[in-house]
Amino acid sequence: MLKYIAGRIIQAIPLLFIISVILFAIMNSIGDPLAIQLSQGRPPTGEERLRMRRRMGLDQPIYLQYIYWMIGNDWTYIDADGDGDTDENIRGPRKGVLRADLGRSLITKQFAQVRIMERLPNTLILMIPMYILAITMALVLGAISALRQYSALDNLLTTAAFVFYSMPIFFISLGMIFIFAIGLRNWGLPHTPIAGMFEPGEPKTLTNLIRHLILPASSLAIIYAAAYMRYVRSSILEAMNADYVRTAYAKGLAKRRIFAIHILKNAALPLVTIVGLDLPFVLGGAVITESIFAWPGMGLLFIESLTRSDYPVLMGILMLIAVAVVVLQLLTDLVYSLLDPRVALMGQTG
Amino acid sequence: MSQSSVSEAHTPTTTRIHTLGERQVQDEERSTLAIFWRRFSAHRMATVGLLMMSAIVLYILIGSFLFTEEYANDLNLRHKWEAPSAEHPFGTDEVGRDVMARTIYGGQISLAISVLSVAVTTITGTALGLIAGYYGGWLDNIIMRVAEALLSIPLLFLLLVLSKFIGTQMPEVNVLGREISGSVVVIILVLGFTTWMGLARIVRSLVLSLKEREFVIAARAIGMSNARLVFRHILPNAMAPVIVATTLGISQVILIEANVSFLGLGVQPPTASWGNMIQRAMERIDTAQWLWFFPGALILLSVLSANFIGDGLRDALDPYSIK
Repeated sequence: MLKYIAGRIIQAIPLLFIISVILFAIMNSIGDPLAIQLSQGRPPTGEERLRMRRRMGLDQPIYLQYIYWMIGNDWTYIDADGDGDTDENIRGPRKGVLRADLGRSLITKQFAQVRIMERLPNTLILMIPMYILAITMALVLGAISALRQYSALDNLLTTAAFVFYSMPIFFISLGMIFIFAIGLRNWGLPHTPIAGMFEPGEPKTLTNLIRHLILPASSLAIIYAAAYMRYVRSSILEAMNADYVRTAYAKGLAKRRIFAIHILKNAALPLVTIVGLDLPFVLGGAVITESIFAWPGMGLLFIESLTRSDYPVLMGILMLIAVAVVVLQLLTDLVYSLLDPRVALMGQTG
Repeated sequence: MSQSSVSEAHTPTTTRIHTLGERQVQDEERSTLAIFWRRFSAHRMATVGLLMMSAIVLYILIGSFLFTEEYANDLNLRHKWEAPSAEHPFGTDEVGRDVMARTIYGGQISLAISVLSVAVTTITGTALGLIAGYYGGWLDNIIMRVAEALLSIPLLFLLLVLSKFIGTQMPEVNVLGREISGSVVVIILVLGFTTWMGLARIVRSLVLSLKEREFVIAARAIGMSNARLVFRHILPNAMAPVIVATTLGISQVILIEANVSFLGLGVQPPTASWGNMIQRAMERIDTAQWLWFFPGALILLSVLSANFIGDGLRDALDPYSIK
């Protein structure tokens, strides 16, 4: 078991390295890295630019630039005046992404990670209830659908899952706004607000937050639930036909007990994998939903940064999510091997 | 999912053969194509999908004889935000363009983007999967690690960054006498080169098991060249899952293109696409429902039909029963 865990951790290292190379390549090709560090709006003169380039280490070969980006250049002496010799008492100013230096936002001059951490809680407020709702819906509807296989209800549910799984997120969001915000308001019924987390001027109470949460969370939840329901249905059907379930029936266990212990528990395993793989993307924010509902989370921050070409924040968000993906993949594999000991055993023999 | 079903395909269990026995006897007398068509047309959802897809393709083709592209891109500021009427069946948009004509020309762009970028994906994914699976070793390691790394970066975020910094500065291109925004070309390539990973994994695992099969070993024993071995014996046997993945890929790409264009970073106006038509729908969300409903419904229908067809293909091309 320990050997398996160690093996998985070692596998993650080259993956992180390749991700960092890809992100570095994107970062180098989309913008002038110098612009990122310029603190004031005044355009620098030619000589100032060269000086800055040397300070940042941008005059160095590309592999050195990558190293500086990762671990900074404050540990090495630099050639600040450009005479070909390194100056003995001048060190580089960068600390590198590994030491939490993602650069400063071009707009607010804050560190990129500060900007991101401001928005992360808002995204979590939206995504965690949404995800719980989605998984509950998927489990309940998937189980009903599987238990009544080929019934009219099953056909209805699987078709609905297909339709919602094929639906663009903006279509369902705009449709929900049309029905629950505008329709209900026009008929004089209680309706939901459209945008933001709180109405300006309103007290920031929990009820207000929940009212604003309803539309974005449920439109996302329906789409996720539709995708997951299909997995739940097929894995429950698979478990229902397994030999150990037949044995359980044969030895006379109660149906309810067989369903709860033998079927549901085994059918939940594949869902653990899917949830583990999707979770970082879910928590990374929903670009479309957050921009439609003006929800001030990471997705909206990404769009704002994109329209203003704020590269450090953009790259910070990409890096954060990519690292979260690798870490959660690792955790998923570990949880899975705890739930299903066959996995780790297979890894040892194969 | 697909990987596991692929590896199962080569260890058919006795129960499975038993249940399929009756069907196999029926199939023996027919050609592969006839078997395929009978299976596919028996799949109710797949038939519905094929009909829906044909209807959409007919709509965007016949429509271009009814309206010219100039008409679809024609600004008319005195008639903006007009509700559906006899003159404008789907209403007009924020600058007075006819929404129906734009769904027709936008549909051509959206569907062309998805078909072409899936073609790029299929070629890259199949080639890389073949190389990784067939040659193995360090080449396999590098390709699969890069695939894993790209899968770790959220696709929509990556596409938005790439299309923002490459796509929005492209000059117009002339295709078959039509001026089309250069962003279309960028979107096709960016989508094609960022979505090959799933297919490469499927092809790789297929090649890994195919290359241990007797007929491949026999072909190698009689001195067949690598190229001939791959193109005559391995690739044809790996086609079925590739076709299924490609069809399902089309539906994914239609959705992604719509999302990117909806955010204003995909296809650039005046060239219409179903996604960029909805870009400004939020401004008049309380009155102008026609602005998002018609393009959105067309996206939904085409994604749905591609998914239905893909599902039907998966059942019809089931490797257990095709002989």
